[in-house]
Order: sequence, then C-alpha cells, then structure tokens
Amino acid sequence: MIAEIGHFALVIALALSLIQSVLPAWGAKIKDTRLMAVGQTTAPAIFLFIALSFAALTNAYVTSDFSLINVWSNSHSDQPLIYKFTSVWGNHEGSMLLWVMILAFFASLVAVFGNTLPATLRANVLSVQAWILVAFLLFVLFTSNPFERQIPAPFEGNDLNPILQDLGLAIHPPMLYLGYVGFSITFSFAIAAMMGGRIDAAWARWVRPWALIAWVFLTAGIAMGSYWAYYELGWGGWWFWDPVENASFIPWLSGTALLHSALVMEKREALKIWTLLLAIITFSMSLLGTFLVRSGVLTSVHSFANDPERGVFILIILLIFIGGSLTLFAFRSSSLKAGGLFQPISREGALVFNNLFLATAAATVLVGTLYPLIIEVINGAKISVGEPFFNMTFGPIMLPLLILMPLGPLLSWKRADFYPAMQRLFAVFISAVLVAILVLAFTKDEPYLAAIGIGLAAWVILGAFAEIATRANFRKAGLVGGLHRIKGLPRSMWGTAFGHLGMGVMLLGIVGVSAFEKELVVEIKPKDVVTISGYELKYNGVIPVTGPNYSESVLNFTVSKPGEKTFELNPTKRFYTARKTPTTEAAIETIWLSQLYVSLGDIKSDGSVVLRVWWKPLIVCIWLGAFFMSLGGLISLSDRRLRVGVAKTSKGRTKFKSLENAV
Amino acid sequence: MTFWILAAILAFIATLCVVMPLAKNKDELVPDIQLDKALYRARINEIDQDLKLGRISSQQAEAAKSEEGRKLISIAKFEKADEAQSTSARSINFYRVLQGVCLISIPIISLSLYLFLGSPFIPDQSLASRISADPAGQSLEENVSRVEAHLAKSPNDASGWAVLAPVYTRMNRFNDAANAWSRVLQLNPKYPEVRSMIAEALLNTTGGVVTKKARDLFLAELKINPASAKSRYYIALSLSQEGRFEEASKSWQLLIDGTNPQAPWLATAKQYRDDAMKRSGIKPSPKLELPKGAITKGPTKEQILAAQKMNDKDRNLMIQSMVDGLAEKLNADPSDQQGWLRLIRAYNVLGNNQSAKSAIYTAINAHASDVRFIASLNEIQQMMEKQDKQK
Repeated sequence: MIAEIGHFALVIALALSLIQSVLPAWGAKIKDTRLMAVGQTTAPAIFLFIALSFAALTNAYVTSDFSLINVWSNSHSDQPLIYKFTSVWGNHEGSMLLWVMILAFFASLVAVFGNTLPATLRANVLSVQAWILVAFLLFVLFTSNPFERQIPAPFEGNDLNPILQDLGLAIHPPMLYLGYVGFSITFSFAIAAMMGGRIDAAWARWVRPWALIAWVFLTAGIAMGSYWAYYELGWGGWWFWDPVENASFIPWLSGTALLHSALVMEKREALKIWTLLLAIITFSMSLLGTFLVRSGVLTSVHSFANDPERGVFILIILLIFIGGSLTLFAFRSSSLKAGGLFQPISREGALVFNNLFLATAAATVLVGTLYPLIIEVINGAKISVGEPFFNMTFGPIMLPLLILMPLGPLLSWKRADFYPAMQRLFAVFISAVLVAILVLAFTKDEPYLAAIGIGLAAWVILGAFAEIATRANFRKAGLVGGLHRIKGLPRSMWGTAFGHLGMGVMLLGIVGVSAFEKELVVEIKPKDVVTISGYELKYNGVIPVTGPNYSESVLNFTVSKPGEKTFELNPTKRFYTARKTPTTEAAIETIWLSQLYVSLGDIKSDGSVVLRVWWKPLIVCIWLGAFFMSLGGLISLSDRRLRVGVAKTSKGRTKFKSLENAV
Repeated sequence: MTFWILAAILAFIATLCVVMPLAKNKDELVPDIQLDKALYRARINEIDQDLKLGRISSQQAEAAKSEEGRKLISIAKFEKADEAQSTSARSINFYRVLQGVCLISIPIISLSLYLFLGSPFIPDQSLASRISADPAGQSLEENVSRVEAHLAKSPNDASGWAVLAPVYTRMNRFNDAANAWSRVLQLNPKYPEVRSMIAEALLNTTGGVVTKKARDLFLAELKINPASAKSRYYIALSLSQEGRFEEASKSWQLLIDGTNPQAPWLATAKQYRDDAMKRSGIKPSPKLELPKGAITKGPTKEQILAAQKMNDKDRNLMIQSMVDGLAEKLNADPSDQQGWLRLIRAYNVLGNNQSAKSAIYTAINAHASDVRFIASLNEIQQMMEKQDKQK
C-alpha cells in the first residue's frame, strides 16, 4: 500500500504541475495577484508530493519489497542498510525520480524564498519550472516508472551494480543533480524574463544567487564523481574525458561563464543578450547530458538505461525546450538595448575575455564529445576522441585564462589602467618565478614544463589574494589597520578569491601528478617487498573475508619509510555473489597532499598477484581545489548584496531620498 | 480500503493547494518600482563601499552614482506607463469558475492516470512478510531462491547442490544444473554418477548433441563406474552422431547385450543399432557424406522424446544403485534431513513403499525434535497410504 501511495503521490504531483504551468503565468499576464499566488502554494506542494513518493520508494528498497520491478532488479536483501538507501538512485528509474524531486525542490525554493523578486517574475519562473516538471514527470511515469509491480514477488533481488556499492553513490549523484537541475532555475529565469519581464541589471542580480547555488553543487558533484572514479575503478586516473564526464563538464564551463557574465550585466547592464543565451545554453547542456546518459547512445559506468524509447522521449523534451527557448531568444534579443559601454582594458573587458575562453572551452569539449557520435551515425565507424584531443585543445584554451586570472579582479569597471594592476601583481609574479626556479633546482630529469606549470599554479594561488591584500593596504594602514580593513571587505571579494584560489590549487595538483607520478607494475608473491618513491611495501599475504553480500580476498601490506610512521594497506578483490561480478577495491594512503595508491590484478592460488602501485604527488590538490571553489561560491552566496528586497526601505540614505521620492 | 482513504486525503490536500490561494484576497501587487528603489539604494551603498576601499576614485564614484540615478528615472517612466494598463479588478465569479475547474480536474486527472498506471490492489510485499510466509505455500522459484541463498552462504554443501541440480533441470535451467553438478563434483568427486549428471545437463543445453566435453565426462564416469548404463548409452549416441557407425553399432550392441531386457530404453537403442549397422553397411566414404547427413539430420524430435522417456526410467535404475549408497550413508550419519527426504522419495518412486515407511520411521526417530521436518515426513506417509489404497 505504501508503494501505491507513493505512485499516486507522483501522479498528483503531475496534476499540480499542470495547474502550476498555466495559472501563475496567466496571472502574470493579466496582472492578477490571486492567480500568481497559486504557484507559491503548489510549488512546495509538488515538492512534498514527490518527496512522499521518493520516501515510499525508499521504503520499498529498505524492506526489500521485490514486488516492485525496480527494487527487485537493483537491490538485494543482504545489502548493508546504507546501500539499500543509495540503491534508490543507483538505477535509471530511481535516479530520474531524484532528478524530478530536485527540480521541484528548486521551484519550491523560489516560491518560499523569492520574496525579493517582482511578483510577475516569480510567477513566470514558477510556471516555466512547472513546464519542465510536467515534461519530466511524464517521462518518469510513462517510460521509467519505478513503481511498476510484478506478481508474484521474486524471493531475491538482482543486487545493485557492485561498482556502485560505495559511499560515493550516497554523495555524488545527489550533489551533481543539485547542480545539473539547479541550472533549470536560471533557465526558467531567462524564459520568464523573455516572456515579458525585464531584462536588465536587476534581473542579473536576481538570477545570480541561483546560478551560484547550482554552480557550487555542480562543482562539488563533479569533483566527488572524479574522486569516486579514481578510487573505485582502480585505474588510478582522476579524469578520463569519458563522454558522461564531459556531459557534466560542459554545463560547468558554461555555468562558470554565466556566473561571470551575470556579474557584468548586474554592474553595468552590458552583455545582456549573451548572459541570457548562457542561461539557456547551460541548462540545455544539462538536458543534453541527461539525453546522452539515458538514451543508450553512450556506454559507460553511468549509462544504466539503454532504452531507445526513453532516448526518443528525452530527445523530444530536449527539442521542445532548447528549440523553444532559442526561438523566443531570437525574437526577444533583437529588441534589447545595448547596455553600458566599456574600454577593452577594464573589469568588463577581463570578464568578456573569461567568457570567450570558457565558451570556447565548452564548445571544444562539446565537439570532442559529439563528434564520434555523429561520425558513427553517418558512416557507422566507431572512432574515439580520447585524451590526446582534449589535452591538445583544452589545455591551450585554459592557459591564457589562468595567466590573466589574477589580473581581472584588480581592474576597475568601465576603464582601467593596465600598469597599476601589473604593479600590484609584481610581488606575486616574482614569487611565482621563484617557485618555478626552486622546482627546477630540487627535481631531476623533470621537464621544464612541470616547473612552469607549478610556477603558474603559484601565480594563480597567490594572485587570488592580490585584491584582498591591496584593499587591506598593510603598508599604509599597518597590521591592525589592515586587519580592520580586511574585516570590512565585502564577502563577494572573498568568494572571488577562494574561487580563483581553487583553480590554482587544482592546477598544482594536475601538474604535480602528471609530472612527478611514479608507477610500478610487478608480479609479487607473499613476503615480497616492493619499493616506490622510498616507500617499502611488504606483502604479508591474502586474508579471505566474508562481507554481507560479497566475499573478498584482502591483501595485506605493511608500508614503511625511514623517518615516517609505518602503516598498512589492504587492497582487495571482491566477488559479489548475486551478480557474480568481481570488483577491485584499491587501497589508498594519503600522506599530506600526496597519495600512495595500490591496485590489484587477479590473485593466483599461491597468493601471487600482479600489483599496480602509484605514487601520486600532490593529487589531493585536485579535489582540494574543487572544495575551495565550492567554498568560494558559498561565501559569495552569503554576501548581503544578493539579498536586496523591498523590506529594507529604512536603510536608505537621506541624501538620495529626494531622488527616490521624485520618482 | 486504507489506501483509498489515504489517496482521497492526498487528492484533497492537492486540491486545497490550488483552491485556497484563489479564494484569498491578496494585497495589491507591489509595484516593481519599489524593488527598483531598493536596488538603487543597494547599488549606491556598494559604490560608497568601493570608494571607501579604494577600488574607485571619488570622481568615478560620482559618475557611477549619477548613472544609477539616470537608470532609476528611466525605469520609473516605463513602470508608470505599465502600471496604468494593469490591475483591473476581476469579478468573484471568475475565481469561482476557476476553483470549480480545479476542484474537478485535479482529482479526475490524478485518479484516471493512476488507475491507468498503478496497481492499487497489490499489497506491499516486504522481505520480512514474505519470509514469515509458510514455505509449503510458496512457489518452486521461491524455495529454489531459499536454497540458493543458503548455498551462497555455505557454498561447500555438496548435498545442497545435489538437491538443487535436478530441480534446475526440471525448471529448464540447464546451465545452472550443469554448474550445480560441477560443484558437487568439485566437493565430492565420489558422488555416484556425478560426471554423467554434468554431461547430461550439458547435453540439454546443446539440444541433445553430445559435445566433446560431455563425451569426456561420460568416459571419465565409465572409468570409475564401468556399469554406468547412462554413460554407455550416450557414448554410443555420440558415435552415431559423429557418423562413426561401425563403432557405434558395436557400442550399441554391447549396451544391449549387457542390459536387463526390461530396460525401457532398449527399443530405442536397438533402433539406433539397426540404423548404425545399415549405414555402416553402405560404406560410401563415410567421412564425406555420412557425417554431413548425420549432422544436418541430428536427433529427431521423436528420438529426443524417446531418449527423455528412457532417461526417466533409466534414472530409476541408477537411483537403485544410488539409493543403497544413500541409505548406508544415512544410517551412519542420520543428521542429513534432505538426504532422508530424498531417500524416502526414491523408495517411493521405485515402488518400494515398505522400505520408504521404515526409512520414515528411522528419520522421525533421528529428528524427533524438529517439528517441521516431522510434519513433512507425515505428509509423505499420508500420500503413500493414499497411493496404496488406490492400488
């Protein structure tokens, strides 16, 4: 009964979404407050109904109710409880339900916290969001229904894909969806604005927090996915340019561009058309990613739904939303007035530069992802556009961006002088060069590129705080005065600093691991000792262990290095009985920012095994960088600049009261 | 019933979410200009802050402020023009009609769509509720799953696999049957006829064709147990299938000679022998033509059916030899309940109900504390008594 209540709640959510897709927008059109207010109750209600449905599905998973086909094919009664929960979205149907729930969640956020928005804009946004909801609820109910039943219920389930039986599944998909789906709000804002609202600086200010929230989650979600793939797949790589990874990376690139261009639009009312376009494109890319993953066009760890029928359905959704929004855009964009003017060398100029390169990077990744698919459709040939393509194109595009990154925040709006900004960065530049020289001096046989790369990372990391240091002005104000000034700095400035810092830290990790990584592949027998980068790994033998729904062979290593604490590593070979699938669990030890990574081949009966050992210097920086970026986003989000509302009337300055009263 | 009540409540709440806001008289629309003023003030504050931090010069600050001022004025003009054409009060009937539409449409849409998609009469079937159900009332598949779960936990239980394997065959899961028998072989290489059991399961997966692997297994069985009629039968069949009719006819003859004349598969064996003899008698380069004919023809449907028929009774013979071994084993170690059940059923199939009853008696004595086991034994006994009466 609980399962059926969940099913019914999902259907109700669809009915309410249909109402919400009409009434608020109609109300905005005829300026009717009652009609517009409908969205404010329906949006949270839809979310609650979908959440109820999600809870019902979760209940079915936790109690192993295999009369639900979805539960039966993706879980097993022996699973540990945590994986019974995560199994809910470790499959196509359940994850689509999560997708829709997050979509509704964002709509309800707008309904509840959108008090500072003009009523008509809010109503229109809620209606547009409801259109997307209707489309995807229909998709879930008719092609991917997790509540389909079977009688009699099989006694045992098929278990979750063993690769997904990991804590990573608890974090990565929800985070990523919050990011992916979060950009639906900026899309809705763009459509709502074009439906008769205003497209000006105010709009950019309203849309920016939503873009920030989505961006924070998308950044964290992608990074989490990267780390998960790194430790779970056992190949030791952290990014594979896999089409599905790219599908999440493209929206990230265009979303990052959107964050920056919205800044220009907000401050200077320039780049209006471009910002609108980015808002549309970012969500379109999210939809495209969904299509690529769900349609069976691609095969990868993520493509658990290879069903052409679903593919066609998503393709139709894709065409309607992308086609419709671009058509509307074509009509409206011509009527927009040009905004504020600016010189090429100015904050605006720097942000345009940023957008140019980010957009090019996004386009490059898009081409690299779609090209093999298109070729396959045309002549059936299977080609692979792998790492070499992306390394040759993506790197050079990002390079100028990184070089100029510290400079941007130092330029003033409208018109800036290049030289004062360069002067402020002089100390940073000297430090970066010093770092590069030190790297050259202390490493042997390493390419010069590594030294330059680490120097560049130092430039970005130190440069990230150049603006804060300049504003604190310790030289003039002294330590106390400087600190006092730092306290007064707007949070958005810290947000920028941490975001840029994150890029530098990530670059440091990427350069460190690609230049200085050590790899070793050996066949070893018990009692053998392997040495890598000064670490001695002694192989003690194999211990058989029985887990809840698997059996495993745990290899025990004692690792020691003179002057450091000894520790144990236990790489493991697992066998999941229900799916009859083996998995390899790598063993990883983090030592400061570097990691020792041990992975296994097949274990022979005498205990000998092919071992892959990596020393990965600075690799933690890659994910630490992403963490700083997300943190930067959160700090920016807390800036009060983003919370301007009518309620704050009393704080107005008397000096300008006269003007306010005049208008 | 609870479901329908809950569903009705949910639908009612959903309808309220739409009907309520339509009923409530809202405040007048806050004109956008209020927001713009707030934004303008925020902007001015920010410009002041930038000035304080030294981001801009005082001259630039003034210029920026006046730019904001100009923007506000232009927006105000636009807004006033806009406001003039809006806010026409609507009659109460407008909302009433709308409410009526929603009041009807939400439940109707939800209910009809749900009745199309959902299965309101299927109850939840959690694992806990299914486990507590009586195993007797459960399907074969569920019981197989139980045994499978048991074997997943203790995969070294040879007798468990031996119980499961014939069931797999009955469920047409021949590959699983072959695997299960292979496990038995691995764990207990002395298990009677285990090699020929694997081979026979393999045979089922290949549609009756004796593959090399199956043949090797039959040969291995013969090495240990030269009396295995099953192995000899299938080896002869494999020779016929390969077109080696001279050897085949000899093998068939040997098989026929060495068998009890009551053997049920005798007629088919004779047919095969005659066929092999006839073909070997023609002898036109057997390597080229005969194998071809033999392969394309394969075993006919009748032949397969016949073989299966024989197999059943052939199995009886085999069981006879197995049963003695099993009985011995159980007398030595009476703890194996499955073994007892198999023994009793075997006696019953062989028509030896007297032995079956004495086995039941011994089994009950050995497992006096297990009520469920005794119940199942009693059931079998009643069934046999019924059989006796019918006779």
